[in-house]
Parts: sequence; C-alpha cells; structure tokens
Amino acid sequence: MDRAELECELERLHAASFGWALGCCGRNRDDAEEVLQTVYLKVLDGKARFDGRSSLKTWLFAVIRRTAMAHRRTRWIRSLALLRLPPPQPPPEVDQMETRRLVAALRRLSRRQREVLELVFYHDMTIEEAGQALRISLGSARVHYTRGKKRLEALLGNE
Amino acid sequence: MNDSDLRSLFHQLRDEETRFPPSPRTRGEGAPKGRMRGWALAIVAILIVIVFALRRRPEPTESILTWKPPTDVLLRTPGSELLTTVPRIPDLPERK
Repeated sequence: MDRAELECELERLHAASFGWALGCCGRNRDDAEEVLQTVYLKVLDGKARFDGRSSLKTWLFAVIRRTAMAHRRTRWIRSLALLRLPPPQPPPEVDQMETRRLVAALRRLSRRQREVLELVFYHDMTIEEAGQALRISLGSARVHYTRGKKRLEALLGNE
Repeated sequence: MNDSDLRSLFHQLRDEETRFPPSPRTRGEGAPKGRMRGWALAIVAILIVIVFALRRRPEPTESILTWKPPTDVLLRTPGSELLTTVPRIPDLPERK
C-alpha cells in the first residue's frame, strides 16, 4: 500500500478512528486529537507498518490503543515530575441523558471490558476483530464481552 | 435491555461524538504539541551542554620534563652535595 492510498484510507476511517481514540483517552477530545495525530505520523512515516494480517481498521485501532496508552503514561510521569495533578477533565460533551448514562456506566467497567464493548457496539466489529485490535485471544475477548455486557446492562438498568 | 437497544445507544453516542471530528492532519504539517516541546527542550539542553563544555576547557598541563614535585626540597640533606660531586684530587708536587 503506497502513501497516497494509505492517506486515502486514513481519511476514510478518520471519524471511526477519532471515536476509538476518544474511547482510549477517557473521552477527552484534546488528548484524542493528539493521539490520533501521533498515530497518523507514525503510520505515514513508516514507524508503524501494516502487515496485512488483519483488516486495516483493526490494525489501525490497535496502533491507536497502544499510542493512547503511551500518551497516558507520559502524561502521568510528567504530572509526577512537575509535582502537580493533571487538570480536572471537563465532563463529556454529550447532550442527551441516555448517552451520558452510558458513558458513566462505561467508566465503571474494567478497561478491557469497556474496550471490547466499544469495539463491538460502537464500531460494529465482531468479537474476533475486537480481540485482534486488542491483541488478545478470541476466548479472552469473549469472556470480557460477556462479563462486560452483563455488568453494563445491570448498571444501566439500576440507574 | 437487549443487544439491539445497547447497540442503538452506542450508535447514538458515536453519532454525537464523531459528528464534528477534527480535520485529519495527515500531511504532517503539525507535529503534536508535546513532541515539539520535547524536541525544543532537547535542543536547548544540548546547547547548554556545549556552551559549558567550551567554557570549562582544561588548563594546559606542564610538560613532564620541566615539572618538579613540590616535595623535592625534603630530599635535600646536609652534605648531600658530596654524593653528587666528584672530589678533586690535589696536584702532586713535581719531582726534581
């Protein structure tokens, strides 16, 4: 895949990638933008290479997730080094009550459960694709999916 | 709540969040702010190290041939000149 083709694909997947970056960055838009920009540079500079073992979207989501984790670690270390706490995050920019409840409920799940559910329901991936994006086995992805969905339904039902 | 309700709720969230995504800056016209700041700090640090290295040049050292230890004086003892000079034999009187 040459650079022009890659740019075209990245632009096509941009909205979905941004949604996934938001999920990986605790729904902070600034962080998601920064992470996504870093990912695009990595991909276009050839630091992250698509090997064709999965779909481009799955691979790109895995790169976004890894980059977001590195970004989070850097921020944490920087906040320790400067001896100050990170600024409080603004509330999610969602207007409707239902989605606000969903975001609050998602925050109470474990990271893996939240990631699997977001990939399956938000990004319409299969559980297998979600497992590939998260670099975990299909069995493990299934367990996180089942437990996460059960917990999420309970949380949404109770609130 | 069944799967389709859950899916539609997630889709609603997706529509809200990705309705106005930021423009994709895929042409590399702007590196992330954090990375730029990191590069700037690294360059400044390197410049500071270079300036200090140039300013604190070691003083030129004395040649080993001309150097004398400061404790040399302790080796001078009374009568030591006898050990470093050859005694002169007085001239013999001429025989007649």
